[in-house]
Amino acid sequence: MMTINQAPLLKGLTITAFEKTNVEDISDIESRLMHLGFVDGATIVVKRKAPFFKEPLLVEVRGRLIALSKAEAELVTVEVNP
Amino acid sequence: MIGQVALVGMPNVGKTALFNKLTGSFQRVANFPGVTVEKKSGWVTENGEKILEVIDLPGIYSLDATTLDEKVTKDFLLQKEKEPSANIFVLVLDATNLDKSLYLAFQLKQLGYPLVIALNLMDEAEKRGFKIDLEKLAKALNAEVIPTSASTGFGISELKSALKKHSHLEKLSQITIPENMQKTFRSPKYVNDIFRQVDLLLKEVTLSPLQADTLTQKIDQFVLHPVWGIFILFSVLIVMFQTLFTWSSPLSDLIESLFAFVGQIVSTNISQPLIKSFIVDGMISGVGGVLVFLPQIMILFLFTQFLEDVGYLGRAAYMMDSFMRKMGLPGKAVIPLLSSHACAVPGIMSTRVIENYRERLITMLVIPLTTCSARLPVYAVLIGAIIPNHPVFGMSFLRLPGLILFGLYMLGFLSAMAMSLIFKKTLPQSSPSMLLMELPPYRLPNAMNLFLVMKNKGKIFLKRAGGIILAISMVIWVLVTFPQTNGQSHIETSYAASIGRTFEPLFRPLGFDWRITTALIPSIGAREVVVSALSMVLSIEEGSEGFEKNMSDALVKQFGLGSLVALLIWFVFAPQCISTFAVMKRETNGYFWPSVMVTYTLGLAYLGAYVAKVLVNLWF
Repeated sequence: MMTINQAPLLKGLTITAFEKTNVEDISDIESRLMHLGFVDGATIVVKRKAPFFKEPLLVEVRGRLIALSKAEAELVTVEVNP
Repeated sequence: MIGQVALVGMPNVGKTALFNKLTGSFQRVANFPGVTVEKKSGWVTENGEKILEVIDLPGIYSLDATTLDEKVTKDFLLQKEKEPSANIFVLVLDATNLDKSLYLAFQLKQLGYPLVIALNLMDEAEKRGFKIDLEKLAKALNAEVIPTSASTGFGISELKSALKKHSHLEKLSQITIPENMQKTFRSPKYVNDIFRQVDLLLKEVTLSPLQADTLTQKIDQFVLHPVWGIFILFSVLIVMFQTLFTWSSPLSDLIESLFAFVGQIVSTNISQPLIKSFIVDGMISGVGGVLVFLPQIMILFLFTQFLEDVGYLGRAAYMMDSFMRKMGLPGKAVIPLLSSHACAVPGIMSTRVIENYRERLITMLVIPLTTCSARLPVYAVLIGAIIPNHPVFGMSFLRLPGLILFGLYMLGFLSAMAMSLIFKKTLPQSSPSMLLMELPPYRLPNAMNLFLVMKNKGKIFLKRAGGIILAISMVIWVLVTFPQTNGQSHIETSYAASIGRTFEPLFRPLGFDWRITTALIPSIGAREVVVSALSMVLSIEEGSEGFEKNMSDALVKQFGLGSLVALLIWFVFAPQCISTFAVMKRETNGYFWPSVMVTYTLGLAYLGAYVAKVLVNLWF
């Protein structure tokens, strides 16, 4: 179990246990993440981290590039694909 | 009553380019009621006749709106606004990334919107080998699908005729969405379900798959590289900076000399001195004072829109974000903040690139602290008067006045940082502060798009800010002109001077006497005017031989070192010129925030000037 922030670069990752069962617990940021394609089972790749302070992270999801802050990347847990 | 069409779509699908192609130059830009979100509307014309009204709604990722822009679109779609809704909705999809853009299609279809789908960027998708079964797609989405390319104009006439055909549709009366829909919009099951449908549909309609965008990947290897990327970023920022200063100044100078020329012609033809002064010093120079901002505004927006359309603006923000956040500002604030060193007016207007309103507001509030170019003539005269031209540490190329000037820039910049941290702590949080930003693929910019943005920004400035600027400069003209003695105006006996004398006690701790407080009044119009106002109260003719030397000597002799240093520090923080005030009023939709800005900068100026005066008197 690791978050996107801890995940290795340029490896296929599968999102696990990001979603909450209780809809009220989903924050605006988590909602936005979901609508962008960060859903359980989705495959993502961390492409790179920005030069200053190792953030934001650049993540590919559903064919697009999304910049995430460290805090946002901490919200999503992933597994490295075999 | 002509039919209304609303354009809906995710960000970066070429929606605005499509809007421009549909409406040409028949468009107008305003704010949505009550918020500072830009509302673009325009008309489709046929043989010079307006046949359809088109509204370009802000881009949304989903109907679970989180940002202000998204909420505006959502309210429009769900008809929470009193605004008339549309007869037909055009959903703009990005053919080069249906993975993402079909999401919204399913959401809208579920709610039963009358849709026409513009499959935009189709030419690019085809170049990358993409083939799609349009009929199947249309059937699945229950809407007409028209492949388009906003850059080449392909499919635009087909889109127009489809819209014409549907525009007689009855407007939907209140979209009835189930009570708990808001909850459903963010339920993981619902989201997952839509993605599953998107994937299924895509598999079914794709005849030949899209090849990956290797060009964007290749460019990003350089542009986001830890070394090259920073080098490119700083080069872009330096070029922007240089462009604002060097390209705009000949144009601004041209406008200034044009108005001076007109003033001269008028003044030789009017003999009555008061009417002459009113027309020349009041009206003509007032209008000139408004128009002089246009070159900088248009050049800055040409530049930022170019960066945005190419796809670089988001990348610059990505590179700078963590760094800027340390000062309490988002990465996207880097362009408004830097450009404000030329002038705060276009700088404040360009803060619209920041989606989060609170962050945009903080950026606008601290922008006036950056050292704009109008402060330079003031600094030059004051530094010239009080700082000896000595080399520093015996190095002949580094001289004390230059070092002090650099110090003043730093003081402005550091106080902007400090204030943004303070505002970040104190202003209420309205929507979550998030980065979560999409970096679009690189694309060629469209000249028409750039031209329209420049034109619209110029128009907004003239319409929304020009009036206030003109009105206040007329008031200032009255204050320095009246009352007259023997048909002559003297600043020493003017209303401005009476105001200056009235406020003198308040400013005595700073070492400002009535002559300085009087000279500060016309500087509300434009800071650099304080130089000529000071020369007037000191009775030194501007432009006369040895003006600078005489001015320096008189300043030191009349006011003393402490007061001049205090005045220098005063100009680091305040006063904010009326043009800054006027654009801020337009950008925040009211007088509250501009008043906050004026109050806190005046407070800082007073405090800073006082401390400076005390320190100087202690040391010298």
